[in-house]
Amino acid sequence: MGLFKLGGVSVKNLFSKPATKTYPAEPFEPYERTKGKIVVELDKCIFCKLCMRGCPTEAIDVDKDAKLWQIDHFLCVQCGDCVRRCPKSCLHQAGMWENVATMRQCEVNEFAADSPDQLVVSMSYGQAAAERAQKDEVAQKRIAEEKARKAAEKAAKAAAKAAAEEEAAKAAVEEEAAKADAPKAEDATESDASAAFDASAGAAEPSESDAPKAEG
Amino acid sequence: MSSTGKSPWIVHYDGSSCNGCDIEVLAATTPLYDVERFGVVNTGNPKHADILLITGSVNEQNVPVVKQIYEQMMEPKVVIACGACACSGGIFRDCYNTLGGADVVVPVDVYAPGCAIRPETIIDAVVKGIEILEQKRKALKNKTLVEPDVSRMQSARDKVVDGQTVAEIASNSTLE
Amino acid sequence: MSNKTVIPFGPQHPVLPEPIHLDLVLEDEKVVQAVPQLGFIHRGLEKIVEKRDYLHFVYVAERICGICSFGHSLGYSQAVEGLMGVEVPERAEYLRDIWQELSRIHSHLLWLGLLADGFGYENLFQQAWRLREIVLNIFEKTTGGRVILSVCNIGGVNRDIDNDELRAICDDLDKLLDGYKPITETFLDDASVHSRLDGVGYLSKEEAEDLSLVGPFGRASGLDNDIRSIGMGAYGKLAAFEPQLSNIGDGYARTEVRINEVVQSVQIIKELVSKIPDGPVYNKPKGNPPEGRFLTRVEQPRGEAVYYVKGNGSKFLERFRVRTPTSQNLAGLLKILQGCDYADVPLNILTIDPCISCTER
Repeated sequence: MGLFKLGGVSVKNLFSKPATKTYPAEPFEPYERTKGKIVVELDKCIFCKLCMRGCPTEAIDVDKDAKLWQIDHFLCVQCGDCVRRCPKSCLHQAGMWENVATMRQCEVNEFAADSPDQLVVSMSYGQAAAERAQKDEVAQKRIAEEKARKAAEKAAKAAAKAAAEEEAAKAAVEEEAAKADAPKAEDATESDASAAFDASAGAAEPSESDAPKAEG
Repeated sequence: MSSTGKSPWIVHYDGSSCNGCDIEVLAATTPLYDVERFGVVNTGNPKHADILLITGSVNEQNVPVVKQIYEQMMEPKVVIACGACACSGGIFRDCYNTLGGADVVVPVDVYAPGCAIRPETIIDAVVKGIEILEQKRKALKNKTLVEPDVSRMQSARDKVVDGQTVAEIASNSTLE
Repeated sequence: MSNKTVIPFGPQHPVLPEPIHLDLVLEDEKVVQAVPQLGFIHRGLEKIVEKRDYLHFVYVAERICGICSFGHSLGYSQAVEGLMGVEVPERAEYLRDIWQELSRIHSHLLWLGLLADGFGYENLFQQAWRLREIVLNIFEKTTGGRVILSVCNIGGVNRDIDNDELRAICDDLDKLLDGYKPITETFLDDASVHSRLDGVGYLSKEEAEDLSLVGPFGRASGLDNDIRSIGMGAYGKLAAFEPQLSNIGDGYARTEVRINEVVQSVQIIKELVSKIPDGPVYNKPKGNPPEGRFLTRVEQPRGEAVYYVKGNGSKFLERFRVRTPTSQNLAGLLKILQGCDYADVPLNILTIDPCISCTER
């Protein structure tokens, strides 16, 4: 047993170079594979949402209609799953530096309408949620209108088809009746055909007048 | 800069974390990163400390402990939430026992992300915390009180866990 | 007649890295009984296995604990691979075991530093953690993270290390062993350290067997309980493996066992690097989601950990259960606290190498 066994090491350390990395005087030098914050290249992104489905903390939010890619850096645990899954390899993690902040924010990436460059905006939660809700509202309204219009077209087509079938059935019945009285039949079918045409036109009109009501 | 800004003392508490961020906070005091160059001393006594480093998504049992440590610290004081779990609950956000980050219990001044947080990020966060500490110290000297930002606390406390809001859980839990 | 006082210890204490509460019943500076109160780290993560896909749950499993993080992701991956019948490529098995041994080295160096801080030798704490940075540097170069690696996955590993880098790792570990020698001499031969560790927390072999202790805590009392002897994975390809045992059974013996395990781990890594085959490192799991039950064991730095998974055919597993080594060793802690001095309480808690976040998940 001895005393002060660490003495040799202590004296040696007095005269050798310090082991300290003097950050922040010395800049941060990452290795090739060092984990960091997730950064996206929006021009390569196809908004397939694979990264959103893979994220274990649900930190990523992707909106295909609004062309938005949003991430909350304070939820992200830097597991790297999204970087490995991306089919276009537009996500990068290696060596990116994480910033500290006095307020929790989420980072929203989108293309601005008047400039083709990727616009990166940091918004607080409330603000980002409100903007997304607003964009959602406009998008929802547009989708609802499309749906109503398509539904009206379909209804009109169905009504026209139904009316045409009715007339065809009527015409068939009257043709048979007309075959019994041949001379009268020609006039009758002509007038019947014109009547049937008028009837189908008349049948189309009410359905067309119905459609604006559904849209309005 | 006053002497507090030149040598802030820290107290560190693990509020239900996995330990990754805690060993990086301890590693920041070891020779490779050495925060003692800035005068930072890791003390165990909250009454001696200026900065509180919280790690971990706080669970129900830890709420009165964190509140007690915060209340024992002297003004001016700064709270730094280290790591993804302390900032927002992290990957354990959905668990039945976690409340969702340190800012549900104490007003947080600086959020430092990462999982586990890097010692360099801790140094950045402490430097930012020193600036805020200076502001608070001047306000205290001029007898104007800087109200802590409790907005996140208010909104997080409305989250419902098992039929009770977080605000009710936080006010009912006591150490037995 | 001496009076009994109850003194609360924790959850916030300068020497403890994790919150644990003990009510110590004292009779004139001797501890008569210790009543624990746990639950400060319980997050309930075994329940969120029902909400996260079984492929993504590996990221939750590795955050059970920051110190033994790689071991938990390894145990979970092994359990699900056994359940689904996925074949892991051989190079991946070797790489996993190299990372697991590096994890053991960094955990033991961390513990040596905390023990030195526990008995007041701060210089030794700083020297041990300075050496630990060599291992964390290797982790960062090969996987990207210092503490949480995110590299083990179901079907293999996410990253490869090429053979030149493996040889460079062996050179770094030789430098570590050079710096390690003065520290071990201090721990094992210094008079002041001896006076703090000798006779503290003694447990005989029969008591250790009765309490079923695992890990170096049990091996210091003579129990042979190392899971690496079974030979799962690449451990089966080693020429010979002998667990480190000691017969003394007190705090000094536990220190000695862990110090020797670091040297043994470096030798294991060198042997695995010389024998590693070439090939792929990831085999994507195909087929139906897991169904059935499976149990596997991993030798963590603190002892034997058992992992149990149960699947019912959907993409969410039904049950995931971990039996961690510290939860098994807590009974031993309560036994060694009886009759010790009040000033030795932090030291006794530290000699079992507690990892409370593993225990409480």
